[in-house]
Amino acid sequence: MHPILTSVQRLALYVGSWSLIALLFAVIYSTASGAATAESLATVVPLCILYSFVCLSAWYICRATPLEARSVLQIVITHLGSAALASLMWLAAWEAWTQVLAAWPPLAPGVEHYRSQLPLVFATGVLLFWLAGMFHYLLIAFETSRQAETRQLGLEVLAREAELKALRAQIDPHFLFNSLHSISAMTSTDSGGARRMCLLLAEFFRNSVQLSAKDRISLEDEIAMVRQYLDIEKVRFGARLAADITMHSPCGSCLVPPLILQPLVENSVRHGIHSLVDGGAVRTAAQCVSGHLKLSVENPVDADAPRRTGTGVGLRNVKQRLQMLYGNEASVHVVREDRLFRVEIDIPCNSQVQD
Amino acid sequence: MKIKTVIVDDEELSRSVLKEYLAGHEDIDIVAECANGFEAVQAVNNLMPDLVFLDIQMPKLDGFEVLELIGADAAIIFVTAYDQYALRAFEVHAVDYLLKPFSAARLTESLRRAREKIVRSERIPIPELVSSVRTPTSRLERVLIRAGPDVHVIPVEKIDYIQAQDDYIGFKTAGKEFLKQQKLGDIESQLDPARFVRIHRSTILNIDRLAKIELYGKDSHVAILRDGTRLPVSRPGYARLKVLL
Repeated sequence: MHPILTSVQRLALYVGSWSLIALLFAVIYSTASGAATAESLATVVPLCILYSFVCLSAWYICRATPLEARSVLQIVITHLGSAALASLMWLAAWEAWTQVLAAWPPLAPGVEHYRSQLPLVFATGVLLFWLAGMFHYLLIAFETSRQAETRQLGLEVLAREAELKALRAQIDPHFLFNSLHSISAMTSTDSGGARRMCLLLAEFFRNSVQLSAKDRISLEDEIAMVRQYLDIEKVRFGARLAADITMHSPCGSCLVPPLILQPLVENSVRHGIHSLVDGGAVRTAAQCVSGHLKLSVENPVDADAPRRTGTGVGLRNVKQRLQMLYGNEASVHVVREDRLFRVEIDIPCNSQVQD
Repeated sequence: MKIKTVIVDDEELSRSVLKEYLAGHEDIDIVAECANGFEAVQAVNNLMPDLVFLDIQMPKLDGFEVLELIGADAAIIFVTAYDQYALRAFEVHAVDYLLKPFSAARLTESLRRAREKIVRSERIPIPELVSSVRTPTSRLERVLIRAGPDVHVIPVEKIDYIQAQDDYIGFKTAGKEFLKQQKLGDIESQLDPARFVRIHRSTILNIDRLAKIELYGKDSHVAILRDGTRLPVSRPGYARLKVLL
């Protein structure tokens, strides 16, 4: 289907632009032939509107003669031929229309006037048809690029969904192995402790499975999960691990993607506390300032340890997820000092209730 | 015969489960427990154990770095929750690789292998061991140097230059020098070639420390470092420097 005929608005715009051409040509025609203004208008305007529909056929010619697939000569010959043909048809229409108009005495000289201007009318017909051809080429290029854009957009949405699925944070399985090893160690010496650890683990995994299935959870829930995680790691690291969590109470209802803090806290334990003989404290803080939620996770590091190249999967994962969910509204900032490592997150605090 | 055993793990619970399992084996004599890499190196040097249970991820030095420093006189059993080091562990001729959590039966199997090795008392020379630890693609991040009871850890970015001296090479860092028994060519192949350049038969320079190069004599050059140190540059060394600058 012709793109201009698919919508009334487009058609109106098209015919409207042709009316302007018609008026312009009427002026030229009247000057050239000496016809009166009324006669010139009555002759030219209807014929131009008629010709505008003939010119729509240029679309089919343009489609059959794509610019990139045909040689210049082919294109020129095709358009020259079709323009001449269209213009000849237009001449026939002129002949007929001026005859019709001649039935009304004041317009009787119209036929003479027209016949004296045959070359002008023919040339105009060819020219207009060519213009229509160019216009249609533009139209085709525009439509193609818009289609490509839509397709690209669709692909991007698909890719993002797939990526999000893949990025959905996973709990490090080694955390489970190490915890089980701790339980195995405690069974003979501290059976109460072993049982407590089993319960902590069960609770943590139940929670993380439930929460990670959701798109957004409240910060409160996320912090609770972080607390459970640290409780388990405290069993393993003993006095080496201290946890310090501060959350401004109004932030608790802010919605965050699940497991957004947990991987950072996990990194803090794994790369910070684990590398220090005397351990240290993992500090997690949440603050909300004018609609923004500011989160930070901080841990001490060994000053002599080589700075790890690359930021690690966990942190990169968190960054990408936030980037995709919030775009430019999210920022992740990494601070690495001599004895300190801190990740700061800034995201909009959205606290709508979600099912 | 008693097997002198050292347990190296930074987690107390992890050490305690090993002790508990090992208590059932009368020939095992636990002579030391270490909570980090430095302690491990000292304990192994002082006590000369036959068997070492070695955790991989630890503070200060990781299990492989400990092994590089202590050599392979003892039988080594790695103990870790991570399976990705297994290949590397066997490359350095570890007796076994225990994945946490493990059973008493699995440990008994490890001990059987360890006893076999101890009876055969195989010894692997240190240089071979060290070079087998590093694959050619992995870049050295820090240099470990044992000086008597002390262990020095020098991050490579802190090295100013390295100079060969007879059988040793000297690492110069912030005015100090640490000697290690190694060949200059060995260390050169482990360092990042975009950063460390062999400017002379006996010198490798950290290019970050270079202030300028001056012509010296007719066609030889001298490199002047930021701290004013002057080092001779050979003709091929100058060519290598020019490529990097």
